[in-house]
Amino acid sequence: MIRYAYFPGCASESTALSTTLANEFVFGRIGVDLIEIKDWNCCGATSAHVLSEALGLALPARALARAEADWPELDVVTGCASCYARLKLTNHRVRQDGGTRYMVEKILGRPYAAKREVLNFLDVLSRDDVKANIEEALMRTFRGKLRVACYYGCLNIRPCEVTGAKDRENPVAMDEIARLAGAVPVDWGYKTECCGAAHQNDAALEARPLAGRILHNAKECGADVLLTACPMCQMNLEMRQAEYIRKNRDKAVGRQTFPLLDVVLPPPAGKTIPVLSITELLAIAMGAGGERLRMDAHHVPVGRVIADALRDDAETEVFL
Amino acid sequence: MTDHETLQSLLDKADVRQYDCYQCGKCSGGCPMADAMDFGPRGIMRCAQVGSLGRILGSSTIWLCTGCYACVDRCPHDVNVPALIEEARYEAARRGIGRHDSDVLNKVFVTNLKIFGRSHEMILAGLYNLLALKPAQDVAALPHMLAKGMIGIKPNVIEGNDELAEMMQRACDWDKLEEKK
Amino acid sequence: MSRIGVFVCHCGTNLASVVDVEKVAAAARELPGVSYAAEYKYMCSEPGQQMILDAIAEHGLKRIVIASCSPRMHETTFRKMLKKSGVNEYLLEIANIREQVSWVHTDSGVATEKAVDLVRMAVAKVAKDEPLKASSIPITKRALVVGGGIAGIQAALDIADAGHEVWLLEREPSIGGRMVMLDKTFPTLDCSACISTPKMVDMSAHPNIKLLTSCEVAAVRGYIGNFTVTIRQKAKYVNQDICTGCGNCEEKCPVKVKSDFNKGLSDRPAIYRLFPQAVPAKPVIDRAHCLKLTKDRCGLCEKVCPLGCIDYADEDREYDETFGAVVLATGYGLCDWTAMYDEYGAGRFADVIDGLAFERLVNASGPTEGHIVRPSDGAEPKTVVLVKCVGSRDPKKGKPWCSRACCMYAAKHAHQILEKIPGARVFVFYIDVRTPGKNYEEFYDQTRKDGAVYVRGRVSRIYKEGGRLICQGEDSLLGKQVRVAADLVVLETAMEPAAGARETAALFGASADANGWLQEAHPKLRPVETQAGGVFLAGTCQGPKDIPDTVAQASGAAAKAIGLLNKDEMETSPMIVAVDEAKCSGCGACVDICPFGALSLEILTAREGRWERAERFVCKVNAGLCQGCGACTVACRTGAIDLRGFRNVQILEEIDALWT
Repeated sequence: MIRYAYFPGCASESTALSTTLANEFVFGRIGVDLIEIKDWNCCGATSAHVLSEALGLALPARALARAEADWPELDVVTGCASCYARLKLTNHRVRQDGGTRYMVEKILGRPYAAKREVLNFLDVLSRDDVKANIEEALMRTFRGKLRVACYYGCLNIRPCEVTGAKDRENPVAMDEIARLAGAVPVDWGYKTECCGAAHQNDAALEARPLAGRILHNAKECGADVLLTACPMCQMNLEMRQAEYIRKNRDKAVGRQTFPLLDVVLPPPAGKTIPVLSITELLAIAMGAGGERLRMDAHHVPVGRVIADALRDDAETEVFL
Repeated sequence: MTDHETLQSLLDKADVRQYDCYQCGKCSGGCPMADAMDFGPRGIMRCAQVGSLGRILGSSTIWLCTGCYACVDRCPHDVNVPALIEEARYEAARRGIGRHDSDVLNKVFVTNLKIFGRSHEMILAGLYNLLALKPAQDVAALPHMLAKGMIGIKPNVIEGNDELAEMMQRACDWDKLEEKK
Repeated sequence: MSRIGVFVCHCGTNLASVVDVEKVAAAARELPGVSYAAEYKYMCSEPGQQMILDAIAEHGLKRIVIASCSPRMHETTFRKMLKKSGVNEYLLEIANIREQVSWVHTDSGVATEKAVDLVRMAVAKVAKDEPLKASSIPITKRALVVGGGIAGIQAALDIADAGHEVWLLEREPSIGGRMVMLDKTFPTLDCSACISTPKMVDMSAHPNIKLLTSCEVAAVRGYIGNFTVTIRQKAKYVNQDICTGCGNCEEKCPVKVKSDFNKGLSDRPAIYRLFPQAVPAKPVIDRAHCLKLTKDRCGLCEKVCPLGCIDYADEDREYDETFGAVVLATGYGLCDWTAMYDEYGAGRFADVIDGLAFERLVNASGPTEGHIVRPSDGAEPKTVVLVKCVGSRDPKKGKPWCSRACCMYAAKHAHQILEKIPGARVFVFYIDVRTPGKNYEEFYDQTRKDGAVYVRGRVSRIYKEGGRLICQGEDSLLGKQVRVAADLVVLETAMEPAAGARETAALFGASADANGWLQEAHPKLRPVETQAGGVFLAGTCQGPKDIPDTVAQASGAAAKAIGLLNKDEMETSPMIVAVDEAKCSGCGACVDICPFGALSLEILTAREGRWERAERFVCKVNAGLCQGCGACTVACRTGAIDLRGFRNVQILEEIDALWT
């Protein structure tokens, strides 16, 4: 049994409903035991570290210290890129710098040595033994009929000296996992570009175009579905999609300031693009039905595109 | 401290040397928020080079940075602009010249945390929209999320939320202590 | 009495403004063994030297101390002067009171005191100096040029025209180097091949030049005047003496390999010549891809060759040759951007190419016969983006230097695109435009007038959208982010030292700097020499350069080599080590430490009786190889090795003088 201490993150209790169900389903099927950190707290992303450096480190450290005390032999895994970035950075800083460790332990009032690693779901799903388990657990595959754009998000990759990521601009870990399920990853240009989720509340006007460009490029590069590895990206790219499309069109028309230099993007087709998490894709391929996964919770309907890809499959009707 | 000394101390804390930057623009060229920023990361470095702390603290750039680190990753001289921006935000907050919307969001967020221990999105967005006078923001998605049970009224409260609130207080005190030093 | 004369120089005000030179001379007069001391404004000048010569004659001086600038500056000047006086030129010591005193101290009192100390030490040392005599060695009147690009070709031609024999060694199957790959040269737009191929033909026809292609330097022994070089001739599998270069074999060969010469834009057979105008104009077999050599199949070339030149049994050979002078012209390589620039697609996009590939595209004898097309689909690009400083000026990617030629060849590329493709749009992303050369700025001016749009900013990333390549960067003059949709992107990539250049130079005793460029002896005053005597530098092996600078430096290196080869023999420094065999224990510590391989252990028969024979090892010095560095004298445990002119006893006297 492969075991990890698990930091679910706040989104798992609310907006990431279907992803959370898919996580449970997939990790159960592939023999990965995620042990929830007892009484975990919010990591503070994306506000705490903006207010105070000490607070930005102390919040993730509280959860990590609990994991370290309860299961000193387990690495910590989380499914959210924002949580991952904060947890990983805290772990890294405490490990690198004695002063930071002293401060964090003083504030926590308990020891924390950052002995274990912090990982994201992609790290876990990319393990060779886990990949073998995934292949075994597959009940049906998309047989090359579903073209997916894998969106990693910025914080699963950067800052590289903290995450240790090697493929900074064109990572392929998720592409390979999607390929296991028979999906076809497309070569596209926004794998690690920020979607602006952090500022969709306090600077909505400014941050909306970020997600718009990602969706636009995915469509232009021929993707049927956008795959995510973070519930924050997921919500941002999905919930506000109609708005982006409208904004993007305005923007495209409005951007004539430097006609020689700017690419005036063609007005987007106005068609939405479904957004799924990588675990949802795997869950479907492992036979989970749409109801069980609560696919109806998606803001952009996903049933049709999945059904089309699985058309000749016996269990297709579940999605229709 | 003069502004010049303050700027230098921010640069030192961020481990950024302003003279490393030769203004090639690779950072601003790739910054996802560049269109909305007044200076962009290259401009922030330029301000640092000419010693203009005031422009840095008053810029929209420091509040619009998403912290995606694309700039550092591509910088030929490894200039850590987000680290400088982070220090600049702390300094702006110390001087009480933050950006209104960011302030509101961050305060609502942290208060929310102190009470519940976890982020409650409905309360967070609701309170923010109210205080930032943006009543319609994201409201369109609300009926769907309520209907599907993705968000609810009842917050999740962690067991150790009293202890957590105390810890958060200690962290904020620590920062104030550092400041006095 | 030693009869020492001390002469203190003012060096104008360089010395005299800080050091009280009169006081120094007065103090010198009181030193033991000093018979005469004087000071003068410029000791190195004609009247200054005459003053010293007169004093020698008048006072019968036997040893001289001059307190002045660094010995690196004028020791040789004063040695030459002494030759006229009858005093042995090695009975001279220089006390450096300029670089070590007046230039580094401001307090006159302290400086004068220190100057007196230095003079006292020099006087103590000069008293123990011994007369030395330089010897001479014969010079092999033949030069070796390593590298057959335009630098090597120019250097070889110049040396050969001066009447000396030259061997030119090239590791590729043809000479020509990078220049023959280029289409036109800036700023005159001369056809690169048209001006370089005649030189290649001159080379092959020159009676004084021997051409060695597919060759490498395997080992080097010896020193200035006499380098014994082991040359490795790689197997060509084609008898070059009989082959007429008819080309039958090249036509029939069934193998297709991506052509390096055409930057992978076309194929070549396994038996091939580098390019149609190759010199020598005869094919060789690429052993990594030949079916016969790898799988023992095919053998077509042997069947079609009318003269029976093909020899699959050919092997690499090594042989030794001796040369008096060496010119290193190993050239440059282009950095492998695909390994460094993820943000530019790392080679995933067929239509993102480097500048050299563009040269092949636009070249009339290239794979497209000079039509600029997109490699992906062969269509003519309408919008082309040129990206400068790819690899250059990028410390994070390990290349902090400016490659110097890119600004100009980017302008040339822009000009060529606008000329060849009607209605084309060209965007040049740059950080700075650097045009320091004759008629360069004018060329850049013209390119802008031709319609190239210069955008000040480094491209941040390149990605695909809607079948086009989007170059995203900042127009830093506007302070706005821009995205240009391009059909073709040309990356003007950095020059870097050619692979193996550092190792080859090291064989000759020359060194490379931290970045791998070969190190000149002095960046301003000795730009074509190396620290190794008789080894000279030509072209881009020393640092990034354009063609005019390369050719100029090659001629400079040739002049230096000619100067050396014009002598019949050369003087060697007598300041080398000597071994006291009685003290030597034969431990060999010195042999390991000598950087020049000048020391070896030999058997010495200490005693030979009727019944017994006592032998032991002692150290022997090769006077030709020893450079007088003194490393061995420190390593020698018994103190058996002494450096002439810097013997232990002299150094100890100097130190004693400081404390008395």
